[in-house]
Amino acid sequence: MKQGTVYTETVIHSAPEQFVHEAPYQIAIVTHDDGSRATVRIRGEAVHIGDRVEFIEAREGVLYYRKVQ
Amino acid sequence: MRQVAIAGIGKTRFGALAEETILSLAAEASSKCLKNAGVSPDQVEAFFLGNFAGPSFVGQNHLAPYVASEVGITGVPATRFEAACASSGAAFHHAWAAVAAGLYDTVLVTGVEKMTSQPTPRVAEILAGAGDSQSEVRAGATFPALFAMIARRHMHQYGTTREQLAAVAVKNHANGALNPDAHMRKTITVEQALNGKPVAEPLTVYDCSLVSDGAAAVLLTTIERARDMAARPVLVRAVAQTSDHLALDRKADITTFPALRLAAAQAYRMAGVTPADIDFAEVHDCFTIAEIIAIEDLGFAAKGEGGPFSAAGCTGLRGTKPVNTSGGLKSKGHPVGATGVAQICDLVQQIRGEAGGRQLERRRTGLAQNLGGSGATCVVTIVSEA
Repeated sequence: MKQGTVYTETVIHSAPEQFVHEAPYQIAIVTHDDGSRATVRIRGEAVHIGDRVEFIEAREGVLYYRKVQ
Repeated sequence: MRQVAIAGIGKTRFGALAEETILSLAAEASSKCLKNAGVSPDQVEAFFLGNFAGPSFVGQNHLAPYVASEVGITGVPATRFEAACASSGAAFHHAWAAVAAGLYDTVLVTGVEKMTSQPTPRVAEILAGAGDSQSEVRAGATFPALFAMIARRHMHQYGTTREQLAAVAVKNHANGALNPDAHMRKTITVEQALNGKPVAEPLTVYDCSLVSDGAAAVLLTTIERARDMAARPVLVRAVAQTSDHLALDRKADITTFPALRLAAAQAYRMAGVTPADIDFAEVHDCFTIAEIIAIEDLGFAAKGEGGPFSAAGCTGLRGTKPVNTSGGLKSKGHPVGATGVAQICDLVQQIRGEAGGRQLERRRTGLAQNLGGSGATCVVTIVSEA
């Protein structure tokens, strides 16, 4: 499964109109092991800079990741 | 190239102005500017309008001739510039270039935004349109979220603290309280800023600029013509506009804005000055972290030292490098399309000695820095006493 490291993150409390029902939610910029980066949605446990994360699924163009246990 | 001067300025007050429309605001600032310069509408050879999202905020397109004709300007080019929160900075840059090149002698540049007629989640969505709609915006990012991620990384790399971010907000509110045109004329404490409602962690509502209505205008002409006009002219010594990727995840290091550093380097070279020669500045504090990075990227403080520099009071009214004496976007307000030109108006007021309770003594040379999105457009302007 594709893995990477959290480069930066934030928990969003004040959401745009289309995501209001999901707030608060966390997004992160992940640096993959091949050096590429993506802005992703975090599911489950909150993550911090330096945490290892893995890809879960892509849904409606959004990439979902979770902390590697 | 010809030397260009600012021959007049005009501003509306900034705020949640329910009784005003995008047209009434833009027309008020434009008319005040023409009156300030002592120029009639038929002397204006081109009209450049900065506006980010009039079509989304108020459902009006084709805005430049809409505004121009309202102030009596017809029969000349009237064009809208869109570059997110640097829309009127971009309009100013192109107007300056046109006058410098000899294409026109007299150009009116107005910036306007009418934002408060929409509810906050819709405002967040419209503003997010300045980000990359295929990546970060799709993931649920807002502009506060993008700058929150920048702040997190800056804190991680340089040890910047929330107290240092708060110091920026406290200082800008103190300045804005002295500005009669400011949106939020009240002082705040560090404790208030730290305990504000979270918007996107670690940023609270006190780290974010205001959603405002407002407009600002400047009249550009040659220095020779400006000397014969009604107001004391201010010389435009440099304007540089640069660009970069929209998406934050396309940048190698998000604790700096490459477009800002490039625009600053070009502007300093064009004006023949160094950061030490800048007496005061208006920088784009859309979020507190943006002011900290701006003062680093402009060379006022070393990289990573923007937080301690701010917390030590260096950027205050009585500091060594006063920044955002107007109150900045944080307190003066941020009608996004008006901000770039409003910053220029603030510089002119200081240089003319018209800044009232926030007047600086050392005010010969001022710099304005206007940022679009999370750094995909940047405009840096340097002006001096003529």
